[in-house]
Amino acid sequence: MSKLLVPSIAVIGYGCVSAAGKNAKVAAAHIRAGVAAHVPVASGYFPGDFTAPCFLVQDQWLQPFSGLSLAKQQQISRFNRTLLMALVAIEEALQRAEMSVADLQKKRVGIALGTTVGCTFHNEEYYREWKAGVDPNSGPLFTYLASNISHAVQDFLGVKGPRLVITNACASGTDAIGVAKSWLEHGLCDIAIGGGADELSRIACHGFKSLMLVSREECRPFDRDRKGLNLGEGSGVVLLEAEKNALAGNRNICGWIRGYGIAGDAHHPTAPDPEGRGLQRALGKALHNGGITGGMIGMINAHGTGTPANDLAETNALAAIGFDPAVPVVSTKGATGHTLGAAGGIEAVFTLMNLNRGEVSGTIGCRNPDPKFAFQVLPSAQNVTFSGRVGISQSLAFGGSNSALVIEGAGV
Amino acid sequence: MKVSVRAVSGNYLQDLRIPEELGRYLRRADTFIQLAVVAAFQTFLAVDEGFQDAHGDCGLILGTTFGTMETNFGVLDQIVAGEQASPILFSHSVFNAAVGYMATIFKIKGCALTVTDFSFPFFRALQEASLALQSGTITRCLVLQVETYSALLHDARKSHGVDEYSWHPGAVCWLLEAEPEERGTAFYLDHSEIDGFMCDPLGFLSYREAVDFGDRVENTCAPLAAAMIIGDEIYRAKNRNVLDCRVEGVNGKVRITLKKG
Repeated sequence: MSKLLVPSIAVIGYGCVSAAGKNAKVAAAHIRAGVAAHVPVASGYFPGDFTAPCFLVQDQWLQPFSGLSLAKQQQISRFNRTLLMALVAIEEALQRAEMSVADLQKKRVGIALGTTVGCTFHNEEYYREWKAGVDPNSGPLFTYLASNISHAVQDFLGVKGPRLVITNACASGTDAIGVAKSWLEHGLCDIAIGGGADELSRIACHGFKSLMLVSREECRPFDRDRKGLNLGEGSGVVLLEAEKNALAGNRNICGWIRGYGIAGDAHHPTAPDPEGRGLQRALGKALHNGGITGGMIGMINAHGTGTPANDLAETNALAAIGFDPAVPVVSTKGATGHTLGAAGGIEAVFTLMNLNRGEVSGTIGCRNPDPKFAFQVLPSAQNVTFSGRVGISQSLAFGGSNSALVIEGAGV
Repeated sequence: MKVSVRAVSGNYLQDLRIPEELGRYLRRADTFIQLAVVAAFQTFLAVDEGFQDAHGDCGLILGTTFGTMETNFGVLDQIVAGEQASPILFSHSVFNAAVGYMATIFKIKGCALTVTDFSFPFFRALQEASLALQSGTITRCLVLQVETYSALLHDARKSHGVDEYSWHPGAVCWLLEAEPEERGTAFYLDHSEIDGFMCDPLGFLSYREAVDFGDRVENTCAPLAAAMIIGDEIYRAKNRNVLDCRVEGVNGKVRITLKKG
């Protein structure tokens, strides 16, 4: 397809919920202040007496769409935590766009959401009973069958259009925004919701601990003393529309998703390529897709989990691409934890907000940047201004998949 | 530019034979990964390509209804027993583990996506692959549906009386290629349309669907069946110029039209 025929995709709303805050504005303020709002989890999530910081969303924040009809209240009461977080973020995005659900229902709306835990059945009570030979109450299984996140959001909002759940591990949210962008470019829908949501689960906590990737202390992305990641939960979404339609509808354009790139390492089923070759290709594709050069990039929101392998691969890739070493590179996982399938959505929102302010805050937890890295990141307690309104949000996933978004802020 | 279906393969678990050359890669893999990798291997073989040929310009999109459910339960077993989770089992329980294996074994460096939906995951993956090919970011794409289900799911179907037909684990794989308009003798994807809607969760356990080819209808009761049946039909319909397929179930409907010329 000719590049000239592809429409610009505008961001007309965004929202997020995470341990860093109940909405995007609060979270951004906390990050600027260097606040890490984790709560130590003493028991339950991890095996034995192992404890580690986890970044949890507060229960009282999970009350989306007040004033619902009785039928809708009943519907929402059956939703799992992942779905509730997604709806909180979507409601915020709609409010920012000054759109109602009724407005959405007049459009063809695509829903692309990433998740990991949100697409698995992990109800332990049901599972225990079934293992014990008891015929379990069907409730949890039926809740699971009604909780495909994009399907359930589509049904809750009462909208029609393409939908997809992307389960690309930690890159799911970034990929979902890329998918939403492509739907609009190909005219499959008028408006698209892209992003991710994931709740904290015992499976993820046990699993990441078994891989020896969980730090018992606060995570320190890109720090010389980093010891692993902290898990978290949340949701982040962007509301997208083709720019010409957004302008015709007098929407408040917050920015644009200029480019998207995805590429595999083809290196190892679980470990990242140490040189970040797949990420280099993904970044190259995203820049090409957006018609952007590396010199136009003002800031980069890295995946930055705090694991030795991830942070090394990422910095090697950024150096190999040849970005200006003065470009601030940050990770926000010190404020949100690693929210897995939600991370790409949440971080795209933070990236857009930074681009609109022309200012970015240093990486919470990174006190002594690892001097061995080929590309240096912005450490904690440093806020810098930058020129230009184009930035990158990137994700690396288990399985060797890498994704990047090129985002432009509108300066609003 | 058009999107051609260059090769199609499909296997149920009972027919799965792991080729000798893949043995060392799949030694520790679970059934989900094995089914996916072997299906991709057979698909490349159908176009005379070895698994070690470079597939740098190829993408990979895997759709699934229930994903790695049995392997997930393997991890859950360890958790409810208060044991440490096995790192290998956990790694394989992640939905995109199979895609990671395929990318590594076949040196696939294009997009690699895993998508899930209780309705029509194969056709949703097919639609995404078609968009990626049309946008020019890749020139070829493997599209798969893989299902392994689980004993828990089988028991749930039984307890709700919707198990008159068994669900068999298996995988379907198509190789799509972007081709110039004037080229090609293979079927190309002329039209695809998906309309899904919410149904009673029980509908996802019975999974009744009808696959309508215009001149005949096949009734099915398994998440993998429609993709498998249409794949078979493409293979059999070598002398036809148009293949119009409609899939209809309690959870929605799909129409795909394949043409030659």
